[in-house]
Amino acid sequence: MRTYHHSETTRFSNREELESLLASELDSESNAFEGADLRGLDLSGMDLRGINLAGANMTGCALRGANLEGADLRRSRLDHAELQGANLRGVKAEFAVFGCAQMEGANFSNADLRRANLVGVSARNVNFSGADLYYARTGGGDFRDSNFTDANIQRAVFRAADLTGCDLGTATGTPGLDRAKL
Amino acid sequence: MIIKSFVFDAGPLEVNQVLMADEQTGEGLMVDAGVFHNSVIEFAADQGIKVSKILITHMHADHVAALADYAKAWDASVVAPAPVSAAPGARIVGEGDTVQAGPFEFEIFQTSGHTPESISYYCKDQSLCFVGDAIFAGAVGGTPLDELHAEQIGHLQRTIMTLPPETELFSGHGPLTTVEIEKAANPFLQPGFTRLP
Repeated sequence: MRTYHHSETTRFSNREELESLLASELDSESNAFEGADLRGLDLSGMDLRGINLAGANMTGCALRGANLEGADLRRSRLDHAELQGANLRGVKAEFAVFGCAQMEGANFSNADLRRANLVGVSARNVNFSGADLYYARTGGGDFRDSNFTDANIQRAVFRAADLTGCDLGTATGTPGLDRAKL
Repeated sequence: MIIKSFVFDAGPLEVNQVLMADEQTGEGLMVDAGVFHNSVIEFAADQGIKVSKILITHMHADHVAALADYAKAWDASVVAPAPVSAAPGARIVGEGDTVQAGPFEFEIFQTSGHTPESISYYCKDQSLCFVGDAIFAGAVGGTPLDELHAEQIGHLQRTIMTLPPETELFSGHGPLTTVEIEKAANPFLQPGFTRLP
């Protein structure tokens, strides 16, 4: 489900504002960043483990090499984000929008990606092992050499996606593969 | 603004129903009404949302089957692209009409193809559009004939794809998407991509 309250959006204008708040004795349960507006910020390499970013708008954010392990990204916007090499292990990202994101080499193992928007992503050599991709949607997208070991791909759609070098045999469920390149 | 998407099983598909309301006044609306569920009624009540209008994108059962129940529960009026027996007093709208629901104004686009009557509701102030089954994340609504598919793509290129790139698209099924994402990567909108057999 998607809920957001536009009037409560907190806009962060630079990385330092975010770092300052992170340093102010926030615990992982804090909702200070829920629904935050982080569009376009360079957050590369930051330690964002376990942070609650549900409903946040991170469109176009640079998150290269960032550590988001266990973060709450439900309903968040990460379209056109740069996630190359980022650690997103175990993130909760149901309904998150990753459309056109660049995520080569990222780690999404054991992530909850149910109903996520993966349209047009550059996801070569991504670790999706153990991830739940139920009802996730892509269209196009480059998933070459990505790891789907033990992933749930039931009702996921990989229409026209490039899945060359991916072994879907150990994943569970039957995805839509119209015009996918296998 | 408060906006909440409910997702329900409707046969082989999951279907979305969206509540949208003004945070200050609680004036609100719902888009499509395929499945009646108390969680919708309870959420609206808990949030103080007064649903005065139900907007219908097209007349398939997974979008209208519970229309009478919701309209009765909220004493809401209905806006639809074609006459509907469950709401005899519904306002019938089409291309170029505008609909006011609380503080929100919607422009209607004809986006037929999936069904002959399919329309989309564009709210410029909130930068969002309810597109029904005209377009999904990475796909478009199914059509039985090549001619209808071509009609649908033509409507999308003329209307939805000309909206500002950041416009959020709420589809009848599947996740949220944006004009920018679909324009860049939706296979059906790329040159040379044809309807699936």
